[in-house]
Amino acid sequence: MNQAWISPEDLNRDPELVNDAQREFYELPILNDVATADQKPQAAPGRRDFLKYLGFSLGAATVAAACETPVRKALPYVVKPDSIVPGVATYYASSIVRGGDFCPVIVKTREGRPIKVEGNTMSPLSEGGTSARAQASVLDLYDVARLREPSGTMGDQTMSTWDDLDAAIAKQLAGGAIRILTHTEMSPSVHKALAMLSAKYSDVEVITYDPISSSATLQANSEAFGTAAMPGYHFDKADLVVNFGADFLGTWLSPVEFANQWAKRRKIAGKEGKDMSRLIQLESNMSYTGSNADQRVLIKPSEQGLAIAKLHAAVVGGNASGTLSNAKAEEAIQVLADDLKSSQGKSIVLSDSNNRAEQALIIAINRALGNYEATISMAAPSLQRQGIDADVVSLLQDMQAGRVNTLIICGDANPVYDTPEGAAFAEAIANVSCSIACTSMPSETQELCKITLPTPHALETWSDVNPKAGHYAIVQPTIHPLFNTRPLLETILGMAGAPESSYDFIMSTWEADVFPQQNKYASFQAFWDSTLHDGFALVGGQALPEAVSVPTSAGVTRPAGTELEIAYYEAMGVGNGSYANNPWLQEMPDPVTRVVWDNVLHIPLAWNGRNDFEYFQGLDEDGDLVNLTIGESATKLPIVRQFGQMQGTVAAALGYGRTGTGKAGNNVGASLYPALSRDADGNVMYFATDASVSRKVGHDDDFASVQHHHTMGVTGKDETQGGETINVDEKAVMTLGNGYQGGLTKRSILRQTNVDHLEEAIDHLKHEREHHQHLNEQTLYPDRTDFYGLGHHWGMSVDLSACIGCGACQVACMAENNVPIVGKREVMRHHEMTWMRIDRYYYGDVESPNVVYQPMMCQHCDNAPCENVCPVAATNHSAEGLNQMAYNRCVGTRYCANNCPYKVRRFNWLDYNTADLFPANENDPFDEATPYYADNLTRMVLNPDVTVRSRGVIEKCSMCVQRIQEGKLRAKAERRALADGDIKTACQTACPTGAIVFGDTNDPKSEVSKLNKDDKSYYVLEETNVRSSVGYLMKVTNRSEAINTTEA
Amino acid sequence: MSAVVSPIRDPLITGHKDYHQITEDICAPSERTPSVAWVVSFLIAVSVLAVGVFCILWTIWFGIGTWNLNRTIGWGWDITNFVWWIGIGHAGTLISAILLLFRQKWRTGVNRAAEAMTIFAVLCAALFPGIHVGRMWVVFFFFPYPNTRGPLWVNFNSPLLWDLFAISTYFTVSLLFWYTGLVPDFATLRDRATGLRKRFYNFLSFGWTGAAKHWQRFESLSLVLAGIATPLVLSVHTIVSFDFATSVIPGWHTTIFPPYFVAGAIFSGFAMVLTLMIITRKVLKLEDYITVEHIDSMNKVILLTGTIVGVAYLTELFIAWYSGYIYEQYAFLNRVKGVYWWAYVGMMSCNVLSPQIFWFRKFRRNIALTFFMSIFVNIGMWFERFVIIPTTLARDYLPSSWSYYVPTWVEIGIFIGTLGIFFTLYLIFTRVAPVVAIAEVKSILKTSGDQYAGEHAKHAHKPHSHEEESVAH
Repeated sequence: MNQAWISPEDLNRDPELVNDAQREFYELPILNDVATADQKPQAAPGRRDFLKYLGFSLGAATVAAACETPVRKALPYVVKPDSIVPGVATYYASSIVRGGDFCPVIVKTREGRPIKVEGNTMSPLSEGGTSARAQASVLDLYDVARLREPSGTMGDQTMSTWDDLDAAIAKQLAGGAIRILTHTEMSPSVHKALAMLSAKYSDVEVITYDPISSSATLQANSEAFGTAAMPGYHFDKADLVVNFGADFLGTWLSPVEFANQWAKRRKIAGKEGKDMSRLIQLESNMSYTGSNADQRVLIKPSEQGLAIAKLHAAVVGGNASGTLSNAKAEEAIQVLADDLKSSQGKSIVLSDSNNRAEQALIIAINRALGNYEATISMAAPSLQRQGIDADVVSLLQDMQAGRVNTLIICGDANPVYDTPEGAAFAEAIANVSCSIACTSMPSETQELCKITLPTPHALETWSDVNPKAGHYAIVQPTIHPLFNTRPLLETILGMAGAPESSYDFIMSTWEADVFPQQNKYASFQAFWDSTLHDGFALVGGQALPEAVSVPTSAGVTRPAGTELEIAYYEAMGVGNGSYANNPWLQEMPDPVTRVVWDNVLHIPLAWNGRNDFEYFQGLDEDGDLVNLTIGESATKLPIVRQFGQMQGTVAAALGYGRTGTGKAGNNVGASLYPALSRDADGNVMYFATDASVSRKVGHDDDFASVQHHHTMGVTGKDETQGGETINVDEKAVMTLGNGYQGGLTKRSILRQTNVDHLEEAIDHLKHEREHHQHLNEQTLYPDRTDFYGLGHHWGMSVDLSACIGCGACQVACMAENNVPIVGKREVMRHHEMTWMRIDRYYYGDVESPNVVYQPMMCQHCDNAPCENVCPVAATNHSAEGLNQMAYNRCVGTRYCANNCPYKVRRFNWLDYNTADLFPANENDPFDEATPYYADNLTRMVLNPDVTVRSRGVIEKCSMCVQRIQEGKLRAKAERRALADGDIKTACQTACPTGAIVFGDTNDPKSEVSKLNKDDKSYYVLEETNVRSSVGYLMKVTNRSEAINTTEA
Repeated sequence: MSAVVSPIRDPLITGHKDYHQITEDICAPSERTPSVAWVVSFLIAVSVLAVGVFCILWTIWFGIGTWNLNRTIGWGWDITNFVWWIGIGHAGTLISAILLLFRQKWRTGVNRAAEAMTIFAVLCAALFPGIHVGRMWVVFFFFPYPNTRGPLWVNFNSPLLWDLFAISTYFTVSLLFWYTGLVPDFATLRDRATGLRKRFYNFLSFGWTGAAKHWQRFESLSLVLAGIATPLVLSVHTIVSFDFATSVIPGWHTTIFPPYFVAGAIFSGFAMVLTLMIITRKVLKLEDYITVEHIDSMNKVILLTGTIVGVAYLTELFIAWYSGYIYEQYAFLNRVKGVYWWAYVGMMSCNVLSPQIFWFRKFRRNIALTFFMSIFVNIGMWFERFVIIPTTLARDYLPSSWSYYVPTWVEIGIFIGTLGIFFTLYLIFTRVAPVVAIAEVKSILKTSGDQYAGEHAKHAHKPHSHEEESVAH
């Protein structure tokens, strides 16, 4: 008998009801009608049903029409992880590694997602500095173009799971020769795993190359010292650096480390400049390091070998036959030789030459000067470049001959793009029976590989780094892998038949190989814990190897005597091309040319001594397109007219013109890798002597340069006035139509001097500032005194002598403050949004000018002209001296931006950040289905502490007010007074040279107060009485009177 | 008007009009079927207006990013057009208020149209501050009223806020003044009309009966409004100039701006009055009311104000040199020789050099020449604002931020659209209201009619000749 019943039929177990009850949706008449129409005809829906349907449809239609809100799913934690406190950032010590680039960092995570990297102040290599590339690496993590799933085909079998792929690969590996191609790999664990793989199979070879290589240096060191490694450098110990073209402050070897060392000898305390080092750059193009040099001596790329040989002859002895086309360079080399000889053991001679004989001469010069183990170390060599160029050629020959059975491409290795033989590689890959790409990003080479095994981003995985002998660093995961990826290390271990997790393998490697080298910690656990905390471990170094060879100058490059030579350089942002899909780096202006999103051809200009500049090929507008022909290869490039570019030479960057990466990086600029050629040793030559440039063939309408005017007080000789030195800024273009550009020299924006005139310059500055202050005291409101004398008053100091213009601060600011990128076309329209920019000006002699980089951000004026003009008080002053923006209040009249003397205010012309509801305003720079910032993956990089600004509001530097607030709260929670250095802005922590100091100017003991009271300190445009809070320290150079640097 | 008129003055009303004829002549345009010319003009004006509306909607929908303004040059055609329209809107008040107080009788022929022009120009001008902002849906933040946002008040230090008050006050007073004058004339139209038209004008004329008490109140109100409006003539453009003068940007930060802007505004206002009047008198056959004498008088004002702005331009250059301040010196060298040199040349030639021909009576009385000159002056005054705004911003303190600016089609379209708005409203005005103030013209008939004044008074029965036409053709 039924216990519960709802009707007599139920009670009686009516068969029809039982039957219906088994059908789940019996209650829904329509469904039942449809389902059982033929079996069980029923009456049409009745009045009540009609009303029900009517009600439902009406309700549904109303809901659907009125509340079309996107559904956002959020899952709360069931058990909250201990390390995640909402709203509180967690930091992990880690490293950013890409090929030979290495930067020790602290990763900031919020709610389990990494959003920012900071320099690791404990690291002896960087001492807290970072590079723009390291700062931009968090954006790579959230790159929509990343490879998400493993995939591959073998024969006619298509696979998409790790198990299938692993099984197929295992079968394949046993079949014959295995070749592994990689850029410089600094992970000791990966090296160990590769050794295990080599041990397992009979014919395994690991080929290491660098797209922009130091192969010849490795070879020369191998010959000279028996160690195929790059030397370690100590720029902080060098009084004189003679540099043949190496971009050691920007891209060469270990720029963050070197910039940090170099800047220590460039900052001057007070009026004493005795300890200042001198950097002399010998090169043809205005390289980034050259722009920071005290003097540049112009030599053609093909004459570099002879110039080195001449320096060798002058320092070591012997003779070097031949003459340089620039007679002043000959003289300069003799002067430099004498200077070097008087700085024995306190100098560095270096070159980025990829010629073995030239590097041997450099070694000989340094050895003769006693620089080894004083300023240069082979006892603690750098391992950041390991590639031998010729190995790639033999691999290619093996592939073409069908001698390679399995080719494994690791990481960013991309021979189809980044070697001179790219096209041949693309064809030869077809000859390999199985090609495997282990990489995180699509590339020209990965496209052609049969199997793709996606690897995680460095912020998602365990890894280790050995950038320098005795220095081991750790890479820690800071987020669960976003995609179905597997670290390279695990893949290789799997291939070697010993599958193990990266973490376990790294720990056992360290226990076996690294731990025994040190004696600080007795137990491995303690050692490991301290490594994870610090991010690195230092262990004993190596002994200095014995010298084994005597170099000769045979084999150095000989002057070509051709009409036009071209030098190639590594771009600051995109590097060798592996950073190309990072919009933050693409939109970071090249420090020297100030061009974004493009590769440009630098062409020389000359002051004709009368009234005009003369430009190469008559190209008188930046962005004009020309055809560049080098040997067989032809490229179309926009030009920039470049101060300091030697006559008869041009220059362009490598690393642009990707075609196989994501949408942001594809087809940006043109690639010049195919134009490269190799010397007899197989080493790639980063110059060519057979270049030719056409006349103007068009104009790039989207050519985007953030700075139109480049000089500030450039002088030249006026032959019409009997050789009198005049201001070229004024004279050159003071004609109707071109636009008057003069009146610059006396602007109170830059202060610079040479070290021997430092005292005079300080006196002059003092008098000028006294005059300005006197004017500023003439006020209508004498009783209105100091509003900001109590409590904190935030301010900053920027040392122009230490700032090298690298752009790390700019990218850090974008990452910290959710500053959007806008794309090439919008930058062309001068709509860039950067809160912080680095102004670059040329000054001094027109043929060989010096360069000053001036970081420019909101000056937080205490008498701010932007504040009083805002009709709605959206921008106003805080009690702590901050000029603040209330975005919600901003109507967008742009009056404040017009009235800002520093032009640091940025207006949201479009909805760059996709913060609004109306998609019509969104900016879609890469022509994607979802505009750049609208993608949820990309948005993960946003800092939750900083408002995402909508269309139509003004924004600008806030001096990282969120950090100020956090610092104050932390001090309050710890019940103590805020100490100097508790709060650091994003630009400050990013700076590799410590040029930016932030602090409380009301605290007389704070560093910023001391710096702003320095004799060399000044405020930009002080006489406008805006009362800026950002002090600048005068730029001081250390030029030598004896070296004449102008061209012959 | 009872003042004695010198017999050597030329008459201001020709054609031996009597009071009834004046009523007939002036009421006629609003009583007859619109001419083909009017219909065609109206269609063109409305089409141009539609272009403007389209471009404004485009701006709203796609954002200010559709304009070519940039990080350095935050104001371009938008504020240039704003100041230009405000300037044009100056003639109306000057004619109605200051010339009323100075008892200038020739103003009666043109004051109605000039006031209408003022109102329409201010409407066009007021459009720009509204649409040039980034978030136009919150422009109500500009208004100081007790609110629930704190209450959060506006920033009374900001010249933009002063602008808001100055322009809204000016617009209100101008509108009242204009309408006050219209009331008796609407009553005249009402009395002549039937049916719906009668009811329409009955509503507009507020029950005017022409009683002595009405006239007395009318006169008093006119005088009071003239008193209020007189300082406004000086204040509005003074305050508009504060947008620039109170800034720190060299080239903007100038004490000469207020008088210079006011003179420039009157200058451009009269030029626009001339442009309109020369067409209106011809098309509406009002040559007897808007005579060559009127044009001559207005050309004198043009000459005077054009020379004042010329002196101002030269003073600026002198003071820049004399200041010894390099940024100021640079700003003015840049104006003359910089990237926008052509705008400076345009401004100088149109505003200062070309009006000098009005020293000659012959040219002042040449209608065709005057028409072209009035267009010239308006172009020149547009250039003046362009020179002041984008040229200055393009080259300020930091050379790193220097930039250049060319408008997009959207910005140009909005400007053209405002011309459409202006002419649409003006064309409607010519159909709805008497273009010449009937009552005021009648008041001077007995002193300045050609049968009472000037040479023709002596030869009252000689057929009157259209002197101006012989010059024009």
